[in-house]
Amino acid sequence: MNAAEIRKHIDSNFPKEILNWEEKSPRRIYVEIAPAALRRVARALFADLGFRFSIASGVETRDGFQMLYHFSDDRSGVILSLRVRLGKENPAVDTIADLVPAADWIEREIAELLGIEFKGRVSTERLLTSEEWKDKKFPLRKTPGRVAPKPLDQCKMINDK
Amino acid sequence: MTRTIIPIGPYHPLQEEPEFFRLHVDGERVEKLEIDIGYNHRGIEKICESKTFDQALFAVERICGICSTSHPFAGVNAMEDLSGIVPPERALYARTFIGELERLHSHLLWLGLAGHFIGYNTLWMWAWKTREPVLDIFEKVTGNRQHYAMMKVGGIRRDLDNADIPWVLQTLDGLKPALDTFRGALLDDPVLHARLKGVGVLTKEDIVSAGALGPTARASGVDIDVRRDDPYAAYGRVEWKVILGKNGDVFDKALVRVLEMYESIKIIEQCLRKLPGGEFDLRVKSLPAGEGIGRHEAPRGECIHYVLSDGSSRPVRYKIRAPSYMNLPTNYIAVQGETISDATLILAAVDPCYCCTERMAAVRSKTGELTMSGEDLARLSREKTAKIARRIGVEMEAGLKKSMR
Repeated sequence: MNAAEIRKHIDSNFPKEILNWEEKSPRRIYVEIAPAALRRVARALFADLGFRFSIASGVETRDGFQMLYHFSDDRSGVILSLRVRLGKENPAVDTIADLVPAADWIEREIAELLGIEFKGRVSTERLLTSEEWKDKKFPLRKTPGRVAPKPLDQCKMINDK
Repeated sequence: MTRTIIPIGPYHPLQEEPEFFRLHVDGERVEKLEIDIGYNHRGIEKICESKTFDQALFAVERICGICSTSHPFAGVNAMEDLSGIVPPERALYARTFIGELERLHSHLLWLGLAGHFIGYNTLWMWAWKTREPVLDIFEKVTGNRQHYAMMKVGGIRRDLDNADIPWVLQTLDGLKPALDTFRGALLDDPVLHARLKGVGVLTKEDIVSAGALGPTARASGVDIDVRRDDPYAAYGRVEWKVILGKNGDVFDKALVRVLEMYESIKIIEQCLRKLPGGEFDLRVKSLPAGEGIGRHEAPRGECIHYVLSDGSSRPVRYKIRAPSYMNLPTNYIAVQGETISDATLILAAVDPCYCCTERMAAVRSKTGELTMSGEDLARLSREKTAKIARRIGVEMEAGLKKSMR
């Protein structure tokens, strides 16, 4: 199945859900879909077409957050990346970990490091960060929640008595 | 009912890197496994955002000490996918050569460790002794035993010296008898069969659902290999085959790795014989805006990098996924119902990483001459054995006595 056949299959099953189809190169396809369609398209790729879930990337851009789900078709060498655009504030998307078990760890990782919420997850156990890591500090964000430094005149200097 | 949990880690002599496995056991049998990771999270993805693209390749090379070229290899593939740059032919063949040489030394390292875990220390010594010439080739060709820093967008960082090629081929020829020994030991030794067969079985379905990769997947008969499926560098231009197992147990994982080493040697020989002349680097100065995905079949499986650029000198996002990230969760399934002693071997069978950049060389500081050769070390070892034998009153074998003279 090459890129054209993959497109034909997906187009016929999801005519309305596909927002943008970009073939960056013959074996790299980026497909933007509506967030509401994520679970159905992911299931179709994994279960019906037999694509392998390679990994997901959470991306923070100026316009907001994006989730990219990289599915690999190992027969044609194509990587199909499903793109879902999320808002700037409180980004959230449906979980696919119950449909694609391989996505379990990466969803936990992205939730902890980038602060994207995965709705409907059964397990919310931490993967990388400690349970004591709180206050919505997300280390991978461009503006991680930092404590603002005090103005210098309010700082206690070493020589102060 | 009370539950017994056996903790392995986060720092444990069995493991070289911090991971925490909690084995829930009923008597000798493992009922459930919990995995804790993140003890050594270095934030390399975030670090890469503050590096230039070229610097980021050095940063990702530090992710792993064994397969140190895998990450920069996937990284240059991603950046070249982003920019559409096609490196010169000579660089493509050289990259393939470095990638396969790394697979050789990595598999030998694993084989040694696997031997060590089952108490077969002879195998461990053999495998690591055989690995040394591979590292010598790296040292000669790239200047370093690990962290070769050969990958660069648009080429390789330093050219191969054509004068080295006959020596490299000869050194690889010298490895083949040792590989035959390993294959023979694995196929014929009833002790190894008893210890490894039927242990830690993963079915095809387990592999697909976990998204497992590399020898872990191929041992279960899942026919995936990025080198063939999504050919890059010179992999599409050399003859080789993907090695598949059937049973998905530790034995098949070991066999797949041993047989893959033969294929690696085959690929290297073809690359070096066909190595084209000409340029080796395009001297790329900057990358355009866009996004790219690059993959490399690392010794442990597919390594995938996603790079997003806004046209500046630094990546906006650099996503890295190493193969062990997908392979480790297979342990949830593989250890279930196994005994505790097998569990340790199963946990190691996905080949978690280990940085090995050390060796012993005693050198006189003034003259620079070696104070102790390999023979001297062997002699010391024999003397120590003889000393212990005398102390515990064991008669040494005639052969060993003879070698003492």
